[in-house]
Amino acid sequence: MLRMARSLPEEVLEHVFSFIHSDKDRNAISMVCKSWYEIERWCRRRIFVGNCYAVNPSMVIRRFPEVRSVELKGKPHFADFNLVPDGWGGYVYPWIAAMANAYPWLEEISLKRMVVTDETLELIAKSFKNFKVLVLSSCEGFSTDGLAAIAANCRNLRQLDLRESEVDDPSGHWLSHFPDSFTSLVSLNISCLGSEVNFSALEHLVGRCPNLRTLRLNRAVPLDRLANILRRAPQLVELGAGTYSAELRPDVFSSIAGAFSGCKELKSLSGFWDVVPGYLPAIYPICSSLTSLNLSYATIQSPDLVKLVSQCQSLQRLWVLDYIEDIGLEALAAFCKDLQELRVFPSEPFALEPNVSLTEQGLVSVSEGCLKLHSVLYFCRQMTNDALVTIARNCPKMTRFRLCIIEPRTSDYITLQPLDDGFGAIVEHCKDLRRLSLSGLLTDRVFEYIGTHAKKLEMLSVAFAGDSDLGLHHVLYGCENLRKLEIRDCPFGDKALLANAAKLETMRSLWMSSCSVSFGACKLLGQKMPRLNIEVIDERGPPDSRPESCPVEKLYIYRTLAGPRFDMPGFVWTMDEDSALRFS
Amino acid sequence: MMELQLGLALPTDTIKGLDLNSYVFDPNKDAARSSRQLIIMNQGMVHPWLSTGTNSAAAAAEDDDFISNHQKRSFYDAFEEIYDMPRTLPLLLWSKQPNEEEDDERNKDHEKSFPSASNKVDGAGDGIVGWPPIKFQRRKISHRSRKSRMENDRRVDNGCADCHGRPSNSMYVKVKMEGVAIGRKIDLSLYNSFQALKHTLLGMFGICQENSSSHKLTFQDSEGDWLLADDVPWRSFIWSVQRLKLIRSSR
Repeated sequence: MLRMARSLPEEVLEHVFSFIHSDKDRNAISMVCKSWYEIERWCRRRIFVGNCYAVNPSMVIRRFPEVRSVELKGKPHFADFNLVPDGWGGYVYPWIAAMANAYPWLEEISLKRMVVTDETLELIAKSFKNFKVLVLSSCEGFSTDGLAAIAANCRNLRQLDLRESEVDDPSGHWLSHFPDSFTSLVSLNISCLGSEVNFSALEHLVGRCPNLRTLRLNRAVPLDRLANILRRAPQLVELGAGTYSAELRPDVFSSIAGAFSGCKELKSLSGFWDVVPGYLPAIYPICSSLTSLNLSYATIQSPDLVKLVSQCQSLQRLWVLDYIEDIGLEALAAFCKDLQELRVFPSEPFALEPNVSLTEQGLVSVSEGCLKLHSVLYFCRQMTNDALVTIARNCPKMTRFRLCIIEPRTSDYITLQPLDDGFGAIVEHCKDLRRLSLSGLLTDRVFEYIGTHAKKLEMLSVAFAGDSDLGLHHVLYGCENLRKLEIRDCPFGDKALLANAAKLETMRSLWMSSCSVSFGACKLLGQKMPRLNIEVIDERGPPDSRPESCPVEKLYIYRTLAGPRFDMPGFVWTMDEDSALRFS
Repeated sequence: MMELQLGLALPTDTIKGLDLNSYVFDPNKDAARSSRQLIIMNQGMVHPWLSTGTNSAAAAAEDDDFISNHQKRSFYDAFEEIYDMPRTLPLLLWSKQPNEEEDDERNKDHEKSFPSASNKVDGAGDGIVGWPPIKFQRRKISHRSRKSRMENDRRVDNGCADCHGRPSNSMYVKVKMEGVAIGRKIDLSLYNSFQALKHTLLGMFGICQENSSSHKLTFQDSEGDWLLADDVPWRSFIWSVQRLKLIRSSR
């Protein structure tokens, strides 16, 4: 009887495990004992690989034989800003090829910042009979030919989401490759496509998919087509409109307005390129139920934005251009009490002078009025420590705070001091902060604050900041939960990196570009730390053609079980045990 | 998550007295000591490491005399000597705070000290690659509004009060060549004829000029259509071009 009490049958355990979904919990389960490890690995259905080079496909497949959903990420985040040269890597084909053999029942593939080819898409289309979900976020390397293969072959496709990917040579005909018998679509996001899609094919597709909930159109869909599409999908919950501009005509207006009113379930709007303000009232009737509004491509000026947001009392997320100005943000603070996430993007990021009246005051207003605010991305041209302190005190529950003062090294414009104290207040008061991006004039002191207080911080982005290695040391030493650190143009060199080498194995990755890390230090790290890949990215030529003390251009360090990768282009060198021989 | 628990022993509360405030440059300190510092990698190994005296390796690289005077050993020599140290007491002794000498350099011209990204001109920026940090799709908004500003600027006489402090003239578009996986970018504001443009583009992709008729230049306009560059006047081309592609002439 004692023996029975000690172990539950496998089936029971497996049933219990089926309620556990988070990767963290599943990892914990698998470490309890060998038999739990075994049971767990056979019933894990969903895997997330945050860095596609941290493991290789065969390791994953060997451990988890029955996977249905895979999420992979490739290039480092700074690739979004052109800091990673083309050809660096992130090719997904080897993964798909391996999974085509191992996971015939794979249903979902989500990729971020990876290079996807038409060949890859064709392989997906013919390998997975029950394929349902394809999400390509910030990916590149494929064309509408690949999409046509997906459309033609994936009979059970539910979601096709191309968010912010770069699709080559788009032509609209791929959409017609969805057969007439295809009706399973739930979510379609083609907002990143440059060319027109075939409109009648689009309308027909929308009309025959009764479960369609999300439809994000691209800029090439004109306003007068929108009404037809909406009328065929009144059940839509999320809509991305195309170009929101046309000659102002009452018949067109009432057509659009009527179509919008018919969509009683709409909760999320996006798109809205080239807005003609006269057509905005067409969406007023649905504003009160909107929870998410992405107007970050919409050239709407602040009076119209004020009219709009003051009707969106249920709004939880707003992405908008800085045309909203301080005055619009005050209206937001007054009317949108449920706001949780705010992103304000620059309309003229490269202009020398401000083109709008958006200052630190706008963000302060929102922090005062919106008590649930916890996620902020804010581009502006001026800031003060006082404003940051106020924001920190108003929003102790902040989890993501990214501030970008457009001119590097801008001081507090009133006191002319560095912004150390302001950001210090943020990390001190916001104890749940997981993500932070710094900007403005900053000394080593801000990093001391961060190392001391930001104990839950997982991702930190730093640019044009700090005085010495002490800054980097504070962060590596103090931020216990740090997973991703990305740094550019800071005076950080070898010391802090070498002194905290072991820390690097506890993180997903470290990016340093235009800093002072020497080639010699990279070699040393490569030699001593076999479980890290130390990648030197330098377009000036082989690093050993310069003195060892010469700083490298870019450095990308990540932990890995897969060893050095074999798909590196000519301007990337991995430092490993052999590099001493190779480079001497 | 596939990221495994690595379970390394990391310095935590067992470290006493790691008062970073005490690491302040004191020129009166023992000169001999400051020339030979201990850096401990957190696995408990202690490695003597000659400090260069400054933080910036780049600054050292610029001055060979400095290096030979301090008889800097190579990294490999320095790290071969290993001293036993208890694991729980990794020390971190900085050399003098490398601030004093650096301050002046840094304030003078930051970019010179580091392999700077500023030398490379990015898509549409004022000289700093990837700054401000916005994705390329968002750059297009300003690109379009700037193009219309450019058009306005052309129509207005010099000395117009509406003109911004600096006309942002650069106009980067992506260019691909048929059969080549990796694309490039080119600043169209530097050109005013198809001949010059094509000449440069072919050079970018390594096509020698004798074979210039091997490829034709096509472009995608603001409506998404692909056109032959030679079919339109330069002015229309510049105002509507979104991206370029070089295709083989045999088509």
